[in-house]
Amino acid sequence: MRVVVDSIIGCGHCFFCQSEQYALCDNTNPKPELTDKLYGYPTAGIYGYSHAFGGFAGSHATYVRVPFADTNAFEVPEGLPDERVVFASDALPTGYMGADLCNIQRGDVVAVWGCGGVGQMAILSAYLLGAERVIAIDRFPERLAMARDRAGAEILDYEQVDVREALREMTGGRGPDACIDCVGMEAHGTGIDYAYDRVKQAVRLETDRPTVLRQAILACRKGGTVSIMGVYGGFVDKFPMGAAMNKGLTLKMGPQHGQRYIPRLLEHIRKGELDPSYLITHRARLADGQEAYDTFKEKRDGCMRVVFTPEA
Amino acid sequence: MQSKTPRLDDIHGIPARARKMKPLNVGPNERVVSAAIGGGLVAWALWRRGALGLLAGAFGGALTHRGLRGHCPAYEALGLSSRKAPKPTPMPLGAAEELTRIERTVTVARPANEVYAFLRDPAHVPHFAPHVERVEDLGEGRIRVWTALSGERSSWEAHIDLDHEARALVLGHAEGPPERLAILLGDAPGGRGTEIRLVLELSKTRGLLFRALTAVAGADPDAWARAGLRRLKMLLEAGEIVTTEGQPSGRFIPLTRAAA
Repeated sequence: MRVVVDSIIGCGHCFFCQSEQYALCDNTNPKPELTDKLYGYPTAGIYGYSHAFGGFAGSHATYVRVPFADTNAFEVPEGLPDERVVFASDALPTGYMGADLCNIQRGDVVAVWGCGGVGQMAILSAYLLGAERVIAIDRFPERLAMARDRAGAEILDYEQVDVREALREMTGGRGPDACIDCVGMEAHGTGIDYAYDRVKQAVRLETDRPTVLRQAILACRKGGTVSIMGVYGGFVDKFPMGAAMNKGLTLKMGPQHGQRYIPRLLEHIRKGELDPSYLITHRARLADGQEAYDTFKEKRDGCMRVVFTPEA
Repeated sequence: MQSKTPRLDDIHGIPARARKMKPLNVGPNERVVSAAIGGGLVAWALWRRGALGLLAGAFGGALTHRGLRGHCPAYEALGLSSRKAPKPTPMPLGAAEELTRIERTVTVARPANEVYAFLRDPAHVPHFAPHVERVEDLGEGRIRVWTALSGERSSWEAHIDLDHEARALVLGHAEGPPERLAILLGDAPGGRGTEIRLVLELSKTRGLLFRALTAVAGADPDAWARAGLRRLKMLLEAGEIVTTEGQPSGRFIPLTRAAA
């Protein structure tokens, strides 16, 4: 039997798991002291992530120990190749949750910042959940091309256009009904606020760069939803609270509660309504891990996702 | 709804750690001036050095702290305040809190009778209480607790002061200064399980230094309480204690492999 294991660990029994908020699980972080202090309460354990989230070993290995397997592992339907289901562990449920939090209605236009793995999945998911149009924003030509050709989005290169003005025109002056931030704290930008964040980070007065978040809040139509799936870790500056409050925006965010979504995502894949396998641009053996990570990190050779095959 | 937890007269809702024992008594303008003069003195002290520098540095540091914190011990002693706001009602420590009192609460998604039954079985205690090796039931409401901390084994005898089905369990001991360990159970609202409150009353005669030393050794009572409650919750809810112990790491090469 083949299974997909969610990247965030739930115990399945606490208040949060019982209400399908698995990433907020009370019981799966064996090192809760840091997040208890920094965030007020500790959150769930995550594989191959910061020690603040438990320090569980990653899954790029021949064997992986899975706590609470009855909650976290999902059987893969017969006949589906590994390539089509591997991203159901993290990128796909993250992108899907980003779109799900937007409460998409008929005729809605959704803007997605970031065309990496999560962004691509958010685009596909927004269409699955009934979006009329999806507009994707990035600066890497190969990622924008992928968003256009494989996910069916309209694309904007933020180095070529003023994103807010472009979105305003493309949406008949209304603005996008929902904005999904699939970038997070390591955002890049071209404006003065980006320079400001870099300076404040350099002198350790700020940890995260909310370039995309600011833009999404300002671009979003009045009464719209901003869904934050990109990762933030600490503190941000110059958060446009006035715009968010006075425009009556709904801000929704959080780490992915994959266990809530994986069964229906596997069903979409089985029916052929969803195929995330196009994210795979490179393949490698575990022995070539370092080189593969370098390629991924530096986005060399149009790299989107590297898939390791442990047996090879 | 009135809680059915038996109220111990001196055990109340807001633990000492949550109370502001040093309320604001310096006005906002004075705080800025105090911090600025203090900072200047510290800078001058660093430049001047010597005995005078040390003195100025200490005084400057105190002024800076007073400005940043907004509380002046001298004002407090004299009953003064340069704030215009009304004086806060003090929340003085109760008599029992003159002992070292530690209170920690956790909510477990299990009914109170189940929690109580689990706690009441001595065999379960070593699984969640850090450093506890064994609990022996001596009968007639007495138990012996065996602890081990970094190889040091010791034991103490406790008597059960109060045992209230599904509500409370209070332990005390006969030897030395009076100390107590109380576990109080209350229903969480909306069927969300049981609120477990752990209250430790430790003797102050053990002294500050003793506590500091034991904290370094990993026996800080507050950390002990938190870890114990967290493990208890994991056992009751998830049925196991989650750990990453023994997993491989690329960072630390095991000695056996390095030697090979």
